[in-house]
Amino acid sequence: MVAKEEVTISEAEAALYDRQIRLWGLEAQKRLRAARVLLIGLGGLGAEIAKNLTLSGIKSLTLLDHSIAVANSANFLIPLENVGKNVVEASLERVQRLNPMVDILTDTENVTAKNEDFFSGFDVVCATRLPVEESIRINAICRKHSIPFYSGDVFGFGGFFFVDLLEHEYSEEVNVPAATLKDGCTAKKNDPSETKTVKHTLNYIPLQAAFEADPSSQLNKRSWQRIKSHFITMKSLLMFRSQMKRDPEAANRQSDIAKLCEIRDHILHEMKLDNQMVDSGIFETVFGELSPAAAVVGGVLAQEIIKAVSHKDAPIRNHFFFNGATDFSGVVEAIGF
Amino acid sequence: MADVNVAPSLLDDSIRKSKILVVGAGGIGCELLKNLVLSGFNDILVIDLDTIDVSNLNRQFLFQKEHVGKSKAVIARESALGFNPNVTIVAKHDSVMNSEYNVTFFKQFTVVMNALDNRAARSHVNRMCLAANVPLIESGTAGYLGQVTAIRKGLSECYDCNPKAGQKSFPGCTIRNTPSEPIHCIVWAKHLFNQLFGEADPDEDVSPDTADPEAAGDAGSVALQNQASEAGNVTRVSTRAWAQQSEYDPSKLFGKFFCDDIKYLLSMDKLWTKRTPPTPLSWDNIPEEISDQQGGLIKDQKVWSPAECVQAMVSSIKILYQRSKELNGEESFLVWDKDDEASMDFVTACSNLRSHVFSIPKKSRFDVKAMAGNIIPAIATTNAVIAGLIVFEAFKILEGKWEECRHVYLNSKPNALNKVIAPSSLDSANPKCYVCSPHPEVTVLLNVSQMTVQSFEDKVLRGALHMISPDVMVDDGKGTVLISSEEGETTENMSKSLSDFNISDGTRLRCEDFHQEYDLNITIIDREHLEENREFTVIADPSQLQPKAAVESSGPQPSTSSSKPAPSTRATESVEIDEDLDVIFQKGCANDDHQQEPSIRKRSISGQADIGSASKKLRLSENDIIEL
Repeated sequence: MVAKEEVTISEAEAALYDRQIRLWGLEAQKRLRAARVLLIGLGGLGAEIAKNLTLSGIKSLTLLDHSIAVANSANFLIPLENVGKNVVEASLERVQRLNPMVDILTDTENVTAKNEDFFSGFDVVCATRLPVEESIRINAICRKHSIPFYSGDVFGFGGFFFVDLLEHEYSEEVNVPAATLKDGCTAKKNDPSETKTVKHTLNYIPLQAAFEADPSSQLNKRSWQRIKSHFITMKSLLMFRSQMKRDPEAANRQSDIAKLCEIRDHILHEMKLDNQMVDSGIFETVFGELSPAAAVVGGVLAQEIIKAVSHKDAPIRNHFFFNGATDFSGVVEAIGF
Repeated sequence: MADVNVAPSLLDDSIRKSKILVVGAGGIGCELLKNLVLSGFNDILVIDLDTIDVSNLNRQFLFQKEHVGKSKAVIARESALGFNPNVTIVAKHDSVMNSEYNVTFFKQFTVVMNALDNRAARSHVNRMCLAANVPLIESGTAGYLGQVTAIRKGLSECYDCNPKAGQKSFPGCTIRNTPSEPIHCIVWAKHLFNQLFGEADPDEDVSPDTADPEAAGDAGSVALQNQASEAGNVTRVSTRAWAQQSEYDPSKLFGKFFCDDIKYLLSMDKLWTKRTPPTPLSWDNIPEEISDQQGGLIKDQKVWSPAECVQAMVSSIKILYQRSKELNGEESFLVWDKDDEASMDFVTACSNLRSHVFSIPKKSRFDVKAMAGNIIPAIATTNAVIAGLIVFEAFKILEGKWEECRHVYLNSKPNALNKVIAPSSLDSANPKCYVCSPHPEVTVLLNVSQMTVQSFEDKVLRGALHMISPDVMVDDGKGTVLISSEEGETTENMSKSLSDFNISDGTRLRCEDFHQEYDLNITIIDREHLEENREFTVIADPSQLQPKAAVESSGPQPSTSSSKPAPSTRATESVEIDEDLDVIFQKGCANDDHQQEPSIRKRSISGQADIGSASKKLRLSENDIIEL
């Protein structure tokens, strides 16, 4: 939880954040101002999230990634001369330049070496490019310390993320009908309708429960139809990563597609849905990390983090899927409830 | 883990061979340039007339503090090259509406991508792309909302197939006599700025309107014998000339606008039978108010007391008067700019003093700035998502998969299908579209004896119909030339009224914009009076025309209807929506990012009339709405 009382906004911040303060208000900006975020994994998706959060004016962003920067990366924060260095060190300067008012910290250790104490120092944890087992481990730690948790990925033309906000309180503005005309008033009636603030609480579930869920039986028919392709594809990709210890790669295109189909069939079998439900054509589109896909998923995910930190407006619960090759849709679904 | 952007090889090839035009290097433009470079596009031209402001930096991430004041296109190019120095990016610090960017220019591009925030430019680029037969991807964002759509001649509706609702405007008497909301006072204060320091516009009178139909019978009945009040009558001495007589003495200005003029209004009894009458203020007795506002606010969010308003008025007038004295030439004037402290202080002070007089709630400088400057809240994430969606549409176009192109909406919460990113099919072209149909036609209702040729060109052809350089012939069998795009050819026509050319009810005009390759037939309908004192109404579908009352769109129209009225523009005191305001509808309403007037010399507080008659046009231009 971020406390807002101690935080004030300077004139310089007011000038810089003017256009966003006018959208989400000063209170939300103050809460952002106090938020310490951990971002694990700095690929294309991570770079987008880092950019968006840094621009928004959080207190600090810790970038954790042990991998080495490669050429042709979707991470636009890495100048060409930094290829070969650790990704977070390679990206540091460009991230910091986005907003000198945010503390940008780097950590090049492997996340698997991080223990409970490490995570407890953050207000939000966002994981990318992790094997699902590692995400589950970290989510469990975060739960213990009441820390909101996100994990997301982009594969080729699409991507997805999961969010666990435990028990989340938020407020939203709702319209109330315009006040009736004051009597005798001849002025033209164009009063804007008023809004009032309403509070809600949403409950979330841990990643493990969501990952092991069977939405085909939990969701109604229409909802399941809408997300089945997204869901099966996500699970296939995450299981591929866990089994192969890498993501699908262009060099092994055909055999990786075959492997993905195999994994998919296994998942369907386990769910007792052996009919051909997911077109293998979709696996043609999951290679690499396309910049526009990272932009879309990273934009939605970062905005969700902003919502969570500010406790303003209804956050997504608990999955988001986007595919830029099939239905061009960004779909939300609650899985595992 | 492989970190490679891999698109299927056929697409990759089309990407590498393509040439892209990006119109705008602001919120969407910066994100879009980044995506394009990373996706393998390597021949890009980006054009933007604007310079960088500190308020851009929360989202236009290609710019940093040290770039404030510099050209957006130039700096965006520099930063984008940092993602891949081998890409060719040409930057133009220019307006896309300049004649240099003709149909031949547009034809060189594989796809054109708009990253704009104003209707006029969108309409113009739409026409150029139709003429050049080049696919156009249109987009817009506002707050949490955004849209992307693809436009292709013959295959989809064009930008103007669904006319947009006209800009918000208020009747003159509301602004001059009977304000009831803060916005009325703000509009008044902006008009006052122009009357005192800027380009005086007869439609922006600030003195009491004796022709107010509501006050009929009172005019001149109890007029005060006060020299200031009489001298302020705009038909005799201009407000500016009068102010100069006292060298802009603040106490004299205050006395006229917040005391004498108010007393005059009070004498128009009929106005106040059902309204709270105004209370004149006295310079010697400015009320002090105890502020009961909470702490923890930004300085600008505190509402000024009347005394503070007077202080700000005095100091800002001093600065503005000094500035106007330093200008050269008799034609010089200041241009109001929300980011100029003195201009903003002046409007805040004067609008709040007027609000106080009329017992209207006062607004903080923060809020006044938003209303006066038409500020649209904007954040990084919305622009990032929309820019990503633009590139996905581009992929489909490059692969020739037009049937997969969509109109995509970014919602602030999941819709009925649980979608926050919701695609819908592209609509086909409106067969009666006043731009893309084979023989475009519109009907314009106006008063032929009162409308001058100049007004017709500025307000109707350029302002409402977004032509750039029109040629107009009267369809009278003689080929009478009303307006020629060649300079000097028809100057003597400008001050004449349309009726002087025997234009009457039912006359047809043939209009051509050679630059846009756009031909439009206009049928004139003569109307002595239009609703709400409007100067003209444009109607796209004549079958909608009713005998006496003009049909006009006042809000978003459902896109399924095939005949819709075109937007009407009011010449009377309109909310001074600066040129580049756009409004996007998404079952609700939100507004695009705001930019300055599209003159190359941005923020020229001491600017002269950059674009001649066009500068006046710019102030009267419309809201932009991408409707569902």
